[in-house]
Amino acid sequence: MTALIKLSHINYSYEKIPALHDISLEIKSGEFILLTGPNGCGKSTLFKLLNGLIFPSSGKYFFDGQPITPLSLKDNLTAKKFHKRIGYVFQNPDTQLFNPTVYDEVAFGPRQMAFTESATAARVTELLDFLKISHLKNRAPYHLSGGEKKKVSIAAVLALNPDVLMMDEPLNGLDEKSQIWIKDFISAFSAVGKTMLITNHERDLLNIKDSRIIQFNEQHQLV
Amino acid sequence: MIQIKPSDDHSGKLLTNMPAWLGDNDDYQPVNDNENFLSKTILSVITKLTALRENSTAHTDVFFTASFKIFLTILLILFISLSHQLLFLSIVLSGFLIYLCSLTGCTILRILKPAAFAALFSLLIILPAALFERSSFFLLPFKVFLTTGAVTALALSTPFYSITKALGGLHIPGLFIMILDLTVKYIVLLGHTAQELLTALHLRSVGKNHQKYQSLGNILGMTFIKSQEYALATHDAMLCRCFTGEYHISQQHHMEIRYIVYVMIIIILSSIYFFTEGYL
Repeated sequence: MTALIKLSHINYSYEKIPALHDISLEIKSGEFILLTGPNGCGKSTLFKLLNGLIFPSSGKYFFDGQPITPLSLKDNLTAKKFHKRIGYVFQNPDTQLFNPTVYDEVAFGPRQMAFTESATAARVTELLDFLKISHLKNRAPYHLSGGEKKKVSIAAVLALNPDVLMMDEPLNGLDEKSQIWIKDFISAFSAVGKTMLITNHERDLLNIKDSRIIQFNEQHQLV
Repeated sequence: MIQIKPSDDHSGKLLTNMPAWLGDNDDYQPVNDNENFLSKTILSVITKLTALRENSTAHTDVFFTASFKIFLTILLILFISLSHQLLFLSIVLSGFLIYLCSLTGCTILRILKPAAFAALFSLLIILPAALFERSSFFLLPFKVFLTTGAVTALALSTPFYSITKALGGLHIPGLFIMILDLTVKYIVLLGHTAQELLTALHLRSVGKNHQKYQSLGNILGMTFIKSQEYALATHDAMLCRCFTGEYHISQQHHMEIRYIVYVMIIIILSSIYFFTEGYL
């Protein structure tokens, strides 16, 4: 099986401060990847790069065989298709939710994809039921608890039905009950065969069956 | 450390409740949409944040303190504004060019760009005056260039925290300085929030957005709510730390040899001004 994501000798620096050093990685479709490492080792930077938000200073990034470069993403249709296929759940849900109600937040993706309003409603209802947040649908996202915001941000991303789901430190700032829920969700979602990439400081905390663990060191390299 | 184990029962239940379409891949073909406005907004926020971050790590002169630089800049602006002599302005320009020679090419460009733009703008405004007064009409653009250049050089060579701290030495009220400090801090914090929200919007804009301006309005609204939350939290934190409306800035002055150099520079500048203006 060819790699869905392929990184070849990637380097990236923030104003001369290295963030990623000689990263080479292949991820196959349906794989579950757990990225671990200390704070500031480059996990979030790698996620930004994989989402086409930043581009490597050297090295190559291929998604489904297509090179991801500033030039390729300059094409509006290519960029949209690429972003549709990768769902990115931010570490801080406060900076991901921008719609006035939970319903609008989850409906944003299907409406973008030109779903009819009834098809949008069906998809949103199914997701809200699945994540057990139907009772929040008319609430403003910024008034929710940390765990509820996280569920809404997951629902908002899942509404696009991405091929790859990336979650940056999904357990960060959550209570134990919410952490257990997130872990159950990750186990269930990886079981349907979608590609998943998760970052976490502690490798044991999110060590799910059949996951491939990739460890960063403090020199911003993969061990 | 608490180990979070997945509960197999619950995980299994979640799997059975999962919508069937989540297991399939959509055959989605996006339609073209103009997103220049969104891209430009993100770029503009990032540029401003980068400028602020660069300022916080700006190279600070070890020899010239922020207080001296602020005082010298104010004095320069005063003399440049009052001067009627091209000779004085030319001497200041010479000094300014010598100072620029000690900077990197990128910094020189960042100083000269706004200075040249402001000078050009003032030249356009007073262009009609050239019909009546040809001998000295260019003095104003010249003065604008020098003053804008001096202020930009100060801003680029001194971090904000040094400037606000130095203002305390100039007997500016503490409360004013505190507001200035908090403003700079929240511009950065809210700028990051806005940038992240714009990125989230960009990543989820995978089709045609018929309500672009509404989405941007929502982001502005969220940023406003965040600013309110930050303000309330800061107020509570300050009260908890015994804030009573007074803000003291520690100023320690010890006589140093470099202060003699500062005084000499100020005396030389003042002498040149008074000499060229014919007061001496």
